[in-house]
Amino acid sequence: MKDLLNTWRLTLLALRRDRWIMAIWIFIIGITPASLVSTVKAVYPTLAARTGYMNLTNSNPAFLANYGPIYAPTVGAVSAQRSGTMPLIIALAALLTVIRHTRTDEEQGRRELVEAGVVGRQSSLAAAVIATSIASLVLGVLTTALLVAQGLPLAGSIALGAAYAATGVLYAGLGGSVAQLSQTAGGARGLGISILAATLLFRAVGDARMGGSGAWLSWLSPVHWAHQLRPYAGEQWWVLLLFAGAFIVFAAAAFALNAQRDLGAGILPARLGRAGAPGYLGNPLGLAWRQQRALLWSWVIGMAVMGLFFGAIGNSVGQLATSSAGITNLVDKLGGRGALVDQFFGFMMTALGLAVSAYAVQAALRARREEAEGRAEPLLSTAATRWGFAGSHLVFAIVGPAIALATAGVVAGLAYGATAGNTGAEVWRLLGAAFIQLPAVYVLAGVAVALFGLVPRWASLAWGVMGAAVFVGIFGPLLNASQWILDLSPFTHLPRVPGGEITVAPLAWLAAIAVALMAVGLVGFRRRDVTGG
Amino acid sequence: MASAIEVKNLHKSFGKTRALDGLELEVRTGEVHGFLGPNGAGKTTTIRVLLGLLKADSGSATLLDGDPWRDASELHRRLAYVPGDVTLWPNLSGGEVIDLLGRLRGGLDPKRRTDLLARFDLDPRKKGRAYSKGNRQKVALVAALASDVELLLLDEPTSGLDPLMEAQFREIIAEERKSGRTVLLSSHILSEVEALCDRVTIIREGKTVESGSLREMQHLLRTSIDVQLDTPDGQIAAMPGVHDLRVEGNHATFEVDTEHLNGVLVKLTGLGVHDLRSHPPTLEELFLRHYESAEAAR
Repeated sequence: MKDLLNTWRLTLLALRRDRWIMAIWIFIIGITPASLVSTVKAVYPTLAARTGYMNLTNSNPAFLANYGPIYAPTVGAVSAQRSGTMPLIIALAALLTVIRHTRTDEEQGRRELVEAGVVGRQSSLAAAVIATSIASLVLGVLTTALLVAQGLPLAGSIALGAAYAATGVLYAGLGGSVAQLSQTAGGARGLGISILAATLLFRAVGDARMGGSGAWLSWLSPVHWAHQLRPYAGEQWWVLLLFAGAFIVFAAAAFALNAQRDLGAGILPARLGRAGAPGYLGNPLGLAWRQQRALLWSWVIGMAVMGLFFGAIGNSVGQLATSSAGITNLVDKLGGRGALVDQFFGFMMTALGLAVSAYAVQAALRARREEAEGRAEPLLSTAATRWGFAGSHLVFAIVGPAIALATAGVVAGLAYGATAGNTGAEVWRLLGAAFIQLPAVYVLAGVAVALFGLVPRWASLAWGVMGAAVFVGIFGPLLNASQWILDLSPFTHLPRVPGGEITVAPLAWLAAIAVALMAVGLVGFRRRDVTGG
Repeated sequence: MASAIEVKNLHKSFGKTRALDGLELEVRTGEVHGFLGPNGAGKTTTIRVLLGLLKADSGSATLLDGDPWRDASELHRRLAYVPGDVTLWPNLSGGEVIDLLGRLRGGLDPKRRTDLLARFDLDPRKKGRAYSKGNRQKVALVAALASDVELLLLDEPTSGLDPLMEAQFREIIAEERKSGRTVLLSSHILSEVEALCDRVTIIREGKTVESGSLREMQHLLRTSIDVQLDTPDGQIAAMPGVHDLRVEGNHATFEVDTEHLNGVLVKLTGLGVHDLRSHPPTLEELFLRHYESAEAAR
């Protein structure tokens, strides 16, 4: 127990530091399933209506890939399925929280300060995992309580709450592991998010092939386990054992790695750099390239993987649609096989567009991060101009998302074409569908630049705006939100392609708004003080 | 150009905090100018205004005959800056940072770069995140000193250096002065300023309290006297120009204004001096006096 000395104090410190941010994600995630219940009751009031909706969903690979299947025609099961992306968001929150309280603290020297005091070798790590687990449990209890308050059965409500809590705890353990591997917090986050992307893909692909070959892929994803607790659909409590087992493995790995290494060291070694700068490193753009390239490559690779998976399953979406007479009937009603494939790719491109807007915001906010962490000051005290500094990072917020989306479109087109034929045309079609997302992506990047230029201390609000756009995009239609709320998200205004008609006006408007926001941000930055954190 | 830097009646507030409150500063071309003040006096804020990183609320600042806000990037080709708290790019090696900053100022002298790396005993291959505070400071110093510029702005440049490196730094600054560069050296380490600077400006709470050559300031100073008398005595307190008197039996310590030194000595001999020690005024005492009188006035 010597290794865990004073863990509880550090846990309280972590909870104290995160009290607002934790309260916010616990609240938003916790109310989501309960707030969906009344919509489900209103739209599908009868068993027959819910059964019809269930059959429709379970035979539509696009729906399956996005939310997972519906396991029973109960109000609870439909609500649970509609909040099917929540475990992924919980996983992300847990992962980032643990990394922030372990590797980030270590990188910035806070852990050194703490561990020079009377604390055990494993205390910081344990405190981070425990604090995140406590937050996850609170989230689970809140979720359950609100569902019961909506009049849903107790067992199912507990199952859904338990699924959320277990997901959070599991990813807290995983976060503890990845934090040991990389020497930097950025590296640990990258690693964690790659793992998360993989769990998303396995579930999406496996679920889209539900009942067919490859459906087992879903079981590689803990998000699928959360669904497999089957709230309100004959709860499968044994799935909790899977969570417990995986948590023990990850947590044990984290503590074992943490016990072996030096403070500040990663398991992956740090290397010496060059003695002099390469030729390109002589102006703000060269420096921005150096700061941004790892992020760009990881998004290009991530988007290539996503494009490959979605492109590859595109054909099976079409095949599934003709596999049984009943489904074929349904598909004909929806517009035929081609329309179903288009709809699937349309969904996918919107999802990728939303994902890439996170990249755009991150790349745009890099200038603020440089400033807040004190690295803009030495740069701007040279002949480098404010325009040069801010503009260089903006270049990556503009070009980077375009390259990432182009990669997804081209790879998806190649993969789909390889199985369905007509490769050349498919590449162009899906590349177009990917590029259509860009104006909306740029609006969110523009928000980040404008905040950076006008109210630098509040620049991270850009993440809130992006989160709101994602939330409206995913849950707006499910909540039957009124049109003006949906219209707040730039993604609402994009034409639905492939399949739909391309209208230029909304694209031009979005692009104009994005340019205006960026211009305002750059001018604002030229006129204001350079400030610290 | 007689003055490299001329600051008049400069004001800058951050919200309700007044960082600069009518600051005056003049740095003549070719001199090493000490910029003294306690922590939080406004030294860094002044330098940031001079660099065009902050926009002054009112007052004027002229740097190398230009406007530091409007002409920032052109002026920056002619100066180099070393911040007090150096932050490096964590994924760039020290050598890369030195080259980057040098190129951004319009090039640096490779021979001088090699020479400075050796003198500061710095490994340029380490990544920014792996350097200690002192080594980060050395990276910034090498980058600044290897650039061919007219003016060096150094904000507490030795705060992380060990005594050996500090000596090295002093030597280099002395060389810079000989070669005619202008240096503004902000510091709260007075021995450093005493050893290096031609003239000093002392600021407190955003205002200039004293400015001039060190010799000019000496007359403002007091001399410390430590005296052993034959008999305990109450007369010293009444002598003109005596401050901070403490008497323990036959032993008295006090400070005396330099202009009254002779009169006090004459009177002391009448009391039977057993032992007398005096030490010359240091900038430390000057500084403390300014600082303490401000505290007392509150």
